[in-house]
Amino acid sequence: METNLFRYVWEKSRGEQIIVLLIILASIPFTWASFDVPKRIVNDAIQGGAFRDGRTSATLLEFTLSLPSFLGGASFKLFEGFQVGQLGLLLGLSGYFLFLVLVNGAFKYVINVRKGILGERMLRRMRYDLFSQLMRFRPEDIRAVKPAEVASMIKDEVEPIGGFVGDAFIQPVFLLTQALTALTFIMAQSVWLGSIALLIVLAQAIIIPILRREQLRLGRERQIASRQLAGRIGEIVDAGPTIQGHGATTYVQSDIAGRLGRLFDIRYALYKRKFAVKFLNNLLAQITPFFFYAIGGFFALQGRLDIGQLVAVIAAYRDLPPPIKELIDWDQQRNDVTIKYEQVIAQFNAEETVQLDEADGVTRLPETGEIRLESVQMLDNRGQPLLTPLSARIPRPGTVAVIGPQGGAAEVLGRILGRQAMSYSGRVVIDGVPLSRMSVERASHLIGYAGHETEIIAGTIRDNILLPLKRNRPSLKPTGKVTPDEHRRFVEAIRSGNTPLPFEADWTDYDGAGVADNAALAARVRAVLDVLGCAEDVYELGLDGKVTATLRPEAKAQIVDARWAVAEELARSKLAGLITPFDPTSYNDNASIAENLIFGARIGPRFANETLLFEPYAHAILKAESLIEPLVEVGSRIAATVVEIFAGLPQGHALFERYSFGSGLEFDRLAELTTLLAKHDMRTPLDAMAERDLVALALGYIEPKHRLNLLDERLRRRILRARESFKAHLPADAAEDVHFYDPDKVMLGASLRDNLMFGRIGHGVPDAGRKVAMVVRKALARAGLDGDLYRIGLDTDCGIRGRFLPTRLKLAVPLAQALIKAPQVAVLDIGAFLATSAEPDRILARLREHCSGMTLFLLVGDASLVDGIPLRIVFSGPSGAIESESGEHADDSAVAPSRRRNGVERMEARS
Amino acid sequence: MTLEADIASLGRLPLFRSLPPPRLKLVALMAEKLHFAAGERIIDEGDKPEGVYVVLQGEVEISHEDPEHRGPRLPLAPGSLIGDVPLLCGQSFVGAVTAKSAVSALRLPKDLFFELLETIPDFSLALSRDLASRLYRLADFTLHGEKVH
Repeated sequence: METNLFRYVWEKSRGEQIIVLLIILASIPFTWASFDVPKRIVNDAIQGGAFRDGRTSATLLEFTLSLPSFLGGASFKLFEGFQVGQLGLLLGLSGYFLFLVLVNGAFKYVINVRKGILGERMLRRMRYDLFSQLMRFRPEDIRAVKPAEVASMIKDEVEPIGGFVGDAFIQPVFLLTQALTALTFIMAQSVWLGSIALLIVLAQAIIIPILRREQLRLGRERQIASRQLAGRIGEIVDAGPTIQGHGATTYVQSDIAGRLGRLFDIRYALYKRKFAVKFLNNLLAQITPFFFYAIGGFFALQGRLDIGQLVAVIAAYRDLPPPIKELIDWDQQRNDVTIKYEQVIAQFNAEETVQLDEADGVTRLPETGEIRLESVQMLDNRGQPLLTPLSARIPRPGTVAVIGPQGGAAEVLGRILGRQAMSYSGRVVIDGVPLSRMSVERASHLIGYAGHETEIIAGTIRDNILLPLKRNRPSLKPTGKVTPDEHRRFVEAIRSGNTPLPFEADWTDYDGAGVADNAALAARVRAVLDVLGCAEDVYELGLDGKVTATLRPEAKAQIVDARWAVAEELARSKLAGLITPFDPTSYNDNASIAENLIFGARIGPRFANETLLFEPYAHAILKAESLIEPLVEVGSRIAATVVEIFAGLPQGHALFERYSFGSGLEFDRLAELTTLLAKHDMRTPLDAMAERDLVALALGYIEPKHRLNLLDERLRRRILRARESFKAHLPADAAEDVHFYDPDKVMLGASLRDNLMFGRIGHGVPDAGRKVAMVVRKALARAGLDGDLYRIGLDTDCGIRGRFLPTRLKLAVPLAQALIKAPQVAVLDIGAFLATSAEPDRILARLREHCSGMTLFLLVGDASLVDGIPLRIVFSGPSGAIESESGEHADDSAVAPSRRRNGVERMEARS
Repeated sequence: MTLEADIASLGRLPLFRSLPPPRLKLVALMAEKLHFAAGERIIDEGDKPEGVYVVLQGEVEISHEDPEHRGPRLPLAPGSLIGDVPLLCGQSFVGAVTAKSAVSALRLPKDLFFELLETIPDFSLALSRDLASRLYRLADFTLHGEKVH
């Protein structure tokens, strides 16, 4: 990107800048006229100058177009004007003045608005450019940037620059024309007064920045001194008791006193300086009128200047200092912003960048070919080898096992082949084309890479798996009518140099995946996950997914059928005891208090735990059954326990979320509640928000899960009574918010698991969940609901960095991403994934079959997993050896035991 | 058994003795309380560990079933930790674990166990000490042939 801010701004917004500059030029005559009119008002209208020679009327509003003298000096009278008397002239001229004030105001408004929009557009462009630039970094450079830093640069640091961009050219021109017009006008009236004004303005422009510089320096000093003071106080407070114990308090106090003194000195100097600047500024601004009155008055007495001119000069002078002051501000801002811009840009100007797009589309390589490694080598930044030179010829298609410990050279080779690292020497040549020269687009079509790090973006599992296929540029041709809003968005994007392609469009590259449409793609996703043996995991997630109204109607009916099937199956397999069914007449210990109270699935936020107490109907029921007080009590006990056990753990601790009560309350809030409760005495009622939050906590409580022993028989009975009245008196407008548990109806808003088991699995029984899930799955399969379950499973939200996903699926997502786009070269770091699965051999066999047309690089740590693969690259340390099955097999098996022995020796040496 | 009782019995175990009370409570609360009848199989040989078991009460036995003859059996006292070794080195269980009497145990699921290790230094240190002492006893046994446990 352009390193000079002004050049960058001029290049990208020349047109708009010129338009605004033209508007400024157009405004000059009006400014001039507004200076000129007061003179005419005083001279002609008030002093009667226009009526001096016995004339009784004056001409108002005549328009004469005069050609400059070099064009012949002819003049055309456009409008004769009105003949008016003295009062008429006064009112007419005053009206004209008012009109000019309005026109000038309008000009200022238009210029400021345009300037603002210009700035916003440039800000948008700059942010987009920076982001695009980041995407062009080499992969390892992207990894090297600090995400928070870059994000704040794009978000915050650029903002003042964007604000300045509108001002970059316009502001100085605008202010200078204003100042110059005023100055020229004064000059035109009297060269003497003009010279005085000019002198004072020049003095202002020179002295004030100098004084200000000192002021800034002092300001910085003050900041440093007060920061040090704060640090010192903190230090002393930490050591407070010790200092007290040693009686060194006076000594320490004198230290602080000294620091405060220094701070005082700085602040004192700063004040003096600040008010000196202010004083000087005011003085200079006001001393000029003194000259005007004195010298101008003297000239007026002498008759060298008429009164009107004097008044006009004084009026015009009013417009002179502000622009000068703003110009000085502008200069300071320019300094700041240029430095900031250079700093930001320096972060984004990488030495080497990659080419993003392919000029004329991507074609697949022929089915057979060759991948050549030519002494590929990589060093770390201290010059230590990560990978020693490696050369190989690998026929395409084929399978290569890359064996080595995690984090070692095998992984480095994987990253190089997957184009995740580019700072290597030597070449990787695919069918004669060096990999490092390929554009991002071409390489992404050709290569599917899955590293051992899983990066999962927010969205559903499906979104994540399909991300690699989001590479089909949606067509810009409008499909239907373009709404004005869409049109505006499009034009605005182009103006700011952003891509106009809408994010909402279908970006899926169906051809690239080798499928025809969405349905085929879904089948493809399923096939890929089946290869990885992840179907069960997806089903498992699907069970936790909510049944929503959008499910097809037949499926809803089938769910109820499946529920009976599940019940039968469970009864047969003696597992029925594991489930506590939803029974309207008894308290379900394995469900939360809220679930027991409402006894139904909640749709929408109306009866959510967090706000239940503020919901009028629920509040009435709780009050009628006098449940509020015991629930608050339960909530307080929970809050106290949670605060006790989590105090001192880092914020946002994962364990905290795990032991949640489904209330979404932050730890800070809980701590606040406990302090509130500790201070609270029983005589006054608790404040309503605290009560609400405590009840919310209590509502999520499940006795066998949280095990705080807070539910007694009496409370259970009361909750059961409340359950009855809650259902009996439910207002009609809430009918859609709650689906009561009913064995014959599908419950929307509840999880599929709840729907099918119609109860809760007991806590405290080993492996109950797994055993029941198997039964449930069987019943679903028999009911033909597999597909729906799978779909719901894939719709599961991954959460930030995939934290809602089980580990196995988290590891499977990058592999699925690499495979879904049907690459010609797949580089899969599969070791960690295989370690989590029960049948790694079968997964590998399926994988090899699935990838039979590709060149497959399998990165594993354990050589025994890839026994059947003839071509292997085995790493020990940073150097790799190529072993191929032809004739070297005996050698190969001889190697393995010796390595094993090595391992034993090493272990013994360690212990 | 209530939480208080769980905490009390956890606190008696050497592994957890060094944890401050709030952390102990945390472990007790996060874990899953499980009950096994006498003779019930807790873990099968060759299972991939899904969590770590802390035996609170009752006796368990670790054994290797050989189709031809009964393999060696190793009784484990209450307070033993089961599954940490295979979990930490990514291997499967070397033997089957069976309840000899009625057993109540706490199960720390795999991810929770790692979460505890990563985030609570006290816990990692206590576990390292426990592992080291077991290793020491094993080395002692193999070198001097003395009885372990």
